[in-house]
Amino acid sequence: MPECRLLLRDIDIPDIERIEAYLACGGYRAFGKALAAGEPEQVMAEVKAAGLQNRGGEWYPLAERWAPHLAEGVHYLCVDASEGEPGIYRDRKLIERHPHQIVEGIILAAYALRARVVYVYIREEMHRGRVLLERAVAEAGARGFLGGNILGSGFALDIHLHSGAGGYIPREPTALLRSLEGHRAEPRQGDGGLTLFGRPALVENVGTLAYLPHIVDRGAVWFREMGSERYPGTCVFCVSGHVRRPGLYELEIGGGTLRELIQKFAGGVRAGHELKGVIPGGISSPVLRPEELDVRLSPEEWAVPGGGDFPGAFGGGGVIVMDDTTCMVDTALNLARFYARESCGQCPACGAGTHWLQKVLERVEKGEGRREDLELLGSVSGQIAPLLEPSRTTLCSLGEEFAWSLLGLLRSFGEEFERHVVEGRCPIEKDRRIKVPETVSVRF
Amino acid sequence: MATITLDGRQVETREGENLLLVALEQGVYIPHLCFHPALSAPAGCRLCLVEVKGAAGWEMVTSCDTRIVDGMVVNTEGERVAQARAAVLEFALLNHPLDCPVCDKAGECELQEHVHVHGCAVGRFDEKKLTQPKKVLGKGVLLHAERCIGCTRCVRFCDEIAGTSELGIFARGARVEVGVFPGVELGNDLAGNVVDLCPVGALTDGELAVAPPAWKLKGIDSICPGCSAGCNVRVDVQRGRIFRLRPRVNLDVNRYWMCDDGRYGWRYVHAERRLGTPRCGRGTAERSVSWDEAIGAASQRLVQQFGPESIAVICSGFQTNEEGFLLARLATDLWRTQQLALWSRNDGRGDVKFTDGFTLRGDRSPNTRGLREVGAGLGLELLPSEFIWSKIERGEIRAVLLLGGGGEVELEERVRRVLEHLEWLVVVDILDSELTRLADVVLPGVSAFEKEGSFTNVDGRVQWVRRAIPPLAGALPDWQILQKLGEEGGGEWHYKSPLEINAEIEQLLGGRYAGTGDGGREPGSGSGQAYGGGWADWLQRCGFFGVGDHTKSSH
Amino acid sequence: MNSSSAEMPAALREGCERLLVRYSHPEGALLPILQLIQREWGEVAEESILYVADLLGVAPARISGVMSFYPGLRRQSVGAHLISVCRSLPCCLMGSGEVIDYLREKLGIGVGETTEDGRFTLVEVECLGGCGAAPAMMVDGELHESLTCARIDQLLERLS
Repeated sequence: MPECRLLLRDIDIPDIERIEAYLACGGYRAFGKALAAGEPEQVMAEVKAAGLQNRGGEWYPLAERWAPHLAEGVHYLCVDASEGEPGIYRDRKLIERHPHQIVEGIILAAYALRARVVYVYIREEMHRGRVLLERAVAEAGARGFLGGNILGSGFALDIHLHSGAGGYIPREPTALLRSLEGHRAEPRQGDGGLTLFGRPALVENVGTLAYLPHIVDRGAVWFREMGSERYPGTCVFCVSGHVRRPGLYELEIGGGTLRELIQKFAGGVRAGHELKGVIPGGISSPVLRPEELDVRLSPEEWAVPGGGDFPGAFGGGGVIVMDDTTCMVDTALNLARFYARESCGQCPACGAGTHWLQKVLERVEKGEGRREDLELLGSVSGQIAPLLEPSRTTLCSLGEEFAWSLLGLLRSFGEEFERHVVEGRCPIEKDRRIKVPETVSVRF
Repeated sequence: MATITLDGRQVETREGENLLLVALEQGVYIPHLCFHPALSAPAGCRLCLVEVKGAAGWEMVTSCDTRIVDGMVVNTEGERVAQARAAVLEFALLNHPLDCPVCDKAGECELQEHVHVHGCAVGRFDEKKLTQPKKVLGKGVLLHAERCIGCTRCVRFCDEIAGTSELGIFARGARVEVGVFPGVELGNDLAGNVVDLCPVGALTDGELAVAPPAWKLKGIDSICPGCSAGCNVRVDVQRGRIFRLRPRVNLDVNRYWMCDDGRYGWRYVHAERRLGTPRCGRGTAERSVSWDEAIGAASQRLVQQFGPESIAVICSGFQTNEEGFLLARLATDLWRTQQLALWSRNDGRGDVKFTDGFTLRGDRSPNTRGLREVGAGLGLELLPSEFIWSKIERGEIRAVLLLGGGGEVELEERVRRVLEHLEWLVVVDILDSELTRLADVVLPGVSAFEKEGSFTNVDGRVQWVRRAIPPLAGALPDWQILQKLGEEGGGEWHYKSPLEINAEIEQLLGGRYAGTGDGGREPGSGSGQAYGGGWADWLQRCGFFGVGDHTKSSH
Repeated sequence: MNSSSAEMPAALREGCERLLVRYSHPEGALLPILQLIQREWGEVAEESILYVADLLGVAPARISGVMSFYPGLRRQSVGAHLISVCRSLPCCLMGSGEVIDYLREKLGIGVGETTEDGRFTLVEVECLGGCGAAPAMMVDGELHESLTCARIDQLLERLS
């Protein structure tokens, strides 16, 4: 099973981040086609026919989100370049290495949605990415692809880069919009739909929009030849952790198993160590044991990894590999600290609940855990995010993420947690050296 | 129109209405912390979760921001909802200190209520609770940050109602807390409402540090005498002392609020300077006398020595309609003078209107309109005080009966000279002041909190004022003083209570003045047990909660 | 406590104006303006908050509250070089704990502290997107991946 490079196809071409090289590879041809046809509905139809789904972890079909705006369009398209989930770093790479692909994707989406203004909400930490993306936008503007009456079509568009100021929660769409409006990035509920400054808006992820130039250029039918019936196209998997060759690997959806991705592409676990666990979809997805890795890399296959009634999550394609030097309680604590720090604090379940789980895990990790702590961890996690029947005790889905992760860790590595409690210490020997992969090649 | 099924019951309501409010209307109490009907609904606390049947089966929704749809099936009871409520409460209590024994809010705390009914008796959190220092927010409002559950009602109030936005939310996660920008403290005219709004004891009134606990206070429903808005209030008393005023909900008058001037401006009622005995004479000749002597002296000289042309009666806007009725009849029928004036208190600011319609009135007396209307009903037009001052200066008016009745009054230079110019001045007032020292006869009256009667607010609404505490010993309600003056003046008035006077007003004016006598309820009766203010008070009156109302016990 | 716009250097004011034109509502420019001030002056002081409050028609309490939410906005200045070490899971697996320990030892400060000479401030942050070449840290806006002791030494020397 080879890699199927679509978004990463041209990434190694020298200077691809400059418009000349991008144009030479067929860049902006899709946009040209769309403008020539002169029908934004056609682009929408193509996206719908292609069955393109969000690649930010939610997997909703774009066409569904766009459908209500068929008649009126939206005023604002906001692009989520706020990637911050540990284990997922494709957007950053795509922005730094292949910004024009994204710019063209944005323009096509804005055209389809008849958006007038685009704000790219870019993570503050992406300093380099921001510079490169800004330059790409300027280059596109200089060629007449932006501004008023673009290439005489009557379509007008401005793209503004808006830097975030840190935090994981702005990746949640309502929180992103709230942040754009100059507020704390607090997710909102409500029946008003997504709005920005009082007008209809949509939020789409960078890594998703990057597919648009390909779909519009070569057509939905061609796109559907890749991937599965329900999940067409490719997914750029981000592999990290204790593997020989961490990096980005683009595969057809369903074009292989998780084990193949880790062994074949990422070189398997580093020398002298054994695979212990894999977090398959970014830290919000429950961990898998080594014997559970033969799932196909497709969301529809993911319903019951390893069997049982524990729902897994395909997530955003961030594969974190852990070997035998990893203490799973450490891992749980690391995640707890992340989520406790990133909680916005609006709802008690996430704000106080995650804090509680962190405090208990701190004790367990130090060897000061009590017998009842393990049951408590499970019970509290179940209160924050009951697995089978959602209770909505959190305001947004990010509030439930840690609870799921912890339930997954307890399910797969409960024994290790118990040993911490019973033995009063961590049973894993800690390696105190700073490690890097054997082949220090930063892939892309 | 829409029909929904609420806990198995068919209910008629309207599309688009708020589910939580509809449930409350139907007598179904859905617990909530961050929701308030006058504010936006962030749906952050999650306590109001209920089950609603959708296309995909039963799902949990926050009722505070769910709209009624025809055919909706709602379940507010059952296992899933109970579990969600218990979970939310357990998390809300996580870092909340066990302060109940020392917390001002004990006995009227919404969190306490909900935990008692929907929560667990024992919490499982066994780690160290986060601590935060107390903060002074401004206007005497203290923030006990540890108790704060981050509901943001106070922040939203300052943003959406007061429009001043002094409060903000700081930090994140478990450490969220309310605060102000240094140097820009809480300072709007409605600031005291945040203490009512706070569902826990995080925001407290600094002045009430020494006060009985809520369950020892008795609440009397009355009207605030602070201005002509006529805000509905509850006066919380214990053993004849007022401890605090809280707003009652009245969407047509004061919404859910009252202003700080009214909320805190009643302390003159218990001031040392209250007048308790009638007085005759000025300066060194001043002496305490009996009521009979004082009334006799006042009436005699006013009526016999000075003719109708040279006497005037001045009221201040603090008299009830019933007192105004007697006053007008005293003036016209008995003393045969048309010179009845209104000396109103205006603070010069004019009306201050807030976003939801609540208005602070520039007219600082509670019954200007009522006195005018009652006077007009008896054929008398209330003259402006300026008219009287000029006539006094010209020597045309030589004797005056003046009724005060509000708090502190500062005499303008000119008014003082005018009053000094008088040959005979009788003052009915409640506080010893510059004004009373100018009087030849001082008759001690009582405040609006010590008598029964009605006020007509600026919009013409006639509302009953209820006696919250007994009149100060030695003083008399103005209507009784006027009755005595009337009897001295030859009148055959034998009213036994303001209710009887009110009945005559009703006959005279009808319309808005009908039925305000409150069906002859006993003076001093009211809402009974004190419970919060505004929305919390309203919920208690609906029977949803209140100390001692429980029939369920916690699990 | 009033802050006059005259105290704001002209260049900064111009920067604010340029940001304002991008948004149909002035509030949209809040975060970018705060970041601009922080870039120029190293921190956003109280006077600056009052200036921005006035400029945008936004309450100062809201601005402070917003600032306290985002880790990227600071009320105090940091050293000449800000070292942000990622501590999220992939970097943790590859030794971010050890990177932190090593830096603490070399710089002689704890996490969240600044060296006495004001050169370096050390903080722990969450995922920087360097998971594919962990452990990673950000120094003065530049991402450094595949860290080793040698690389850290080199970098510190270059910056000293």
